[in-house]
Parts: sequence; C-alpha cells; structure tokens
Amino acid sequence: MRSKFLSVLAVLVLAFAVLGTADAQRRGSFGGGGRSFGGGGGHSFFGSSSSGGSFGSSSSRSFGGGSSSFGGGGSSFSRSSSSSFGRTGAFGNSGRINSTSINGGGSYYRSSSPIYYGGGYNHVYFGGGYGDYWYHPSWYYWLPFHPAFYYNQPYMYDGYYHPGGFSVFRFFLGIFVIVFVVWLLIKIFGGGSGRGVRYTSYR
Amino acid sequence: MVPGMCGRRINFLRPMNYFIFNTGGDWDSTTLYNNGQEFLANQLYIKLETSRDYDGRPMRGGLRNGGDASAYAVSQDDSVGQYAIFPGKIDLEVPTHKVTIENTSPMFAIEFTRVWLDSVEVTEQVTDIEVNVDAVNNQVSGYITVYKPHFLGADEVATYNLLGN
Repeated sequence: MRSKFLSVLAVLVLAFAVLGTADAQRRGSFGGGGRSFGGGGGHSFFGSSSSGGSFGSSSSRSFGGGSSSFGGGGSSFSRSSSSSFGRTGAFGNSGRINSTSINGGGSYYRSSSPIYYGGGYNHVYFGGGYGDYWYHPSWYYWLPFHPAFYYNQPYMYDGYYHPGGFSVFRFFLGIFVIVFVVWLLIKIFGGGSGRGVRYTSYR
Repeated sequence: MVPGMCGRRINFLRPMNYFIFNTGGDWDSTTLYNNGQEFLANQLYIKLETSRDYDGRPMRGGLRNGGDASAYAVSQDDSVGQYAIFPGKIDLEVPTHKVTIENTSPMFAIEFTRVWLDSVEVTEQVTDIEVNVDAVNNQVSGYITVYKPHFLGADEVATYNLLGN
C-alpha cells in the first residue's frame, strides 16, 4: 500500500518537474531562450550563449565600446602609453548596460508593446517568474501539476498589469488536490491487497 | 427394461423439492416443510462456499467463481437418512432475514445455484452460507456472507447472522 502510494507520488513529482522545466526552457525564464529580459539568442540555462547578451545588450561587445575586447580604438596593441594595451585607468569604459532586469533578480521588465490582457490591450510588466504565465493563460495552468497554478492572476497597479505573486492558498489547495488524486488512483487501480477488505457483521 | 431405468424415471418425475425452514428463535417454533408437507428432521445442514483468491480470501464474483456446496436434511425416519435438498429450492426464514437458495439443475451443478437475501439476489456476491440445525445435539448456527465491492473505500465482506450467536 505504502509502496504504491510512493510510486504514484514519485511519478507525479517527476511529471511536475518535467512540465515545469520544459515550459521554463521554452519561455526563457532561466536566462536563455526567449527574449523576455533583453538578452538575445541564448538557448541554454543562464545565458551561456556567446551572443547571449546576458546583461541586456544586443551587441556582441562585452565590456565597453569599440570592437576590441578591452578598450577603445581600432588597434588593440598600439603602444601609446606604458600600458601593454595602450590605455590607462581601469579596464573598460563606462559602457552603458541597458538591461533593467537580471533573471531572478526581482526586477520587472515592461512590455515594449501592449499585449491583450484584461479585456483589452494593456502594457504589462513581466516579473520573470511563473506569474507571467497568466498573461496568456492555458487551461493546464489551472491544474496543480503546473507551477503557474501556484501564482496569482496579474493585477492592475498604477495603470499597468503586474504579475501575481506566489499564492499560499493555492499551494495548500495543490497539495490537497494531489493527495486526493493519488488516493483516487490507488482506490481505482490499486487492486489486490492494496484495496483492503473490510469485514463486517450484521444481525 | 434396462435395470435402473425405472428408478431413474421415477426420480426424474419426482416433484422438485421446495423446502421452507422457518423459526421464531426457539425449537418450538421451528418447522421444516417440503412441498407443503412437514418434514420431520433431526438435522438440516447447508454449506456453500465459493472460490477464494490465491491468498484464500473472499473475492468479488460470488457463485460466478464456482465453489462447493452440500445441502441435506436428516430425516427422523432412519430408512430415509440424508435427504438431498437440491435439485430444488429452500427458503430459510429466520426472525431477522430470509434467505432463498435455488438450484434446479438435475446434477446439482454449483454454477446454477442462485441465492437471494431478503428478496435481493446476491448470487454474484455471496461467498459463504452455512446453516446447521442439529436437534439431536441441540446445536443451531447459521450465517451468510456476501462480498460488497465499493468504488471508493475498501470492499466489504459482510456476514449476516441467521441463527445462533
């Protein structure tokens, strides 16, 4: 009985993890993939792509201007100073970093164009979490087997929609539903000794 | 004439047994009739047990699973001895319940047995019936057990006491 219960629970947890990971990859929530947070082209976790622009720039330079890796000017090795690299001071210049969001940092990214939500086209903020999923809800977000289930609906604040936060109520509701589903599956398919037999006596 | 044919024909033409056992809870109110005539008996014995699963536990299906049964009445007339109840039918009327067992197959094949408990057929739920009314030894016992499958919750094996404690 207990082993069957644990087996079914393990399958559900595994399905939960796979579903969440697959969606996260598709949507770029972990830094790669999509263009949700200013980065482009990355396709793996944490933006390891060479063209990734993990910090928001869409160009290929990493630290500062010019095409050279460590400083300005077209020549990398022109010895105009005592420095081996022809420059003085600290590395790089004050190249602007455009990004307003680092994955998971808690910042918000405003949509560049209105999206259809809340009965019309509105500007919204993306938070980078599963709360963003509700801007384009799918039926399975209502199932406790999807992580988005545990986040509230977006809410209107200061003229913009913001993603809802984690819902404790839905968390406990999800636990209840999962336990109920496991119990139901055991009752329906757990034949043999798993079902149990109750012996009663009547006069 | 082939020996035995006459007896077989007579047996075939014999009216089907229809026993009615009735008791109010004591010996004075206990009667046994067969086809409308009182059957003076020393003992009434019925035992039916359907097949079990591999672990020896009752299982759903009742008499569809087959089983074993024996049913007879021991007449007070020593020349009669054990009198087979089946093929035939018997009503067991006790103060709290009424059980009817019927098997009309000439060879008393168990799969043709039908059982009713309080006018509800339980042929596919019954797992055990045992009735022993022994006047000689002053012993009375009887019960019927049915298997009640439940969609939700554990299945139930319910035993209904018919006679005795």
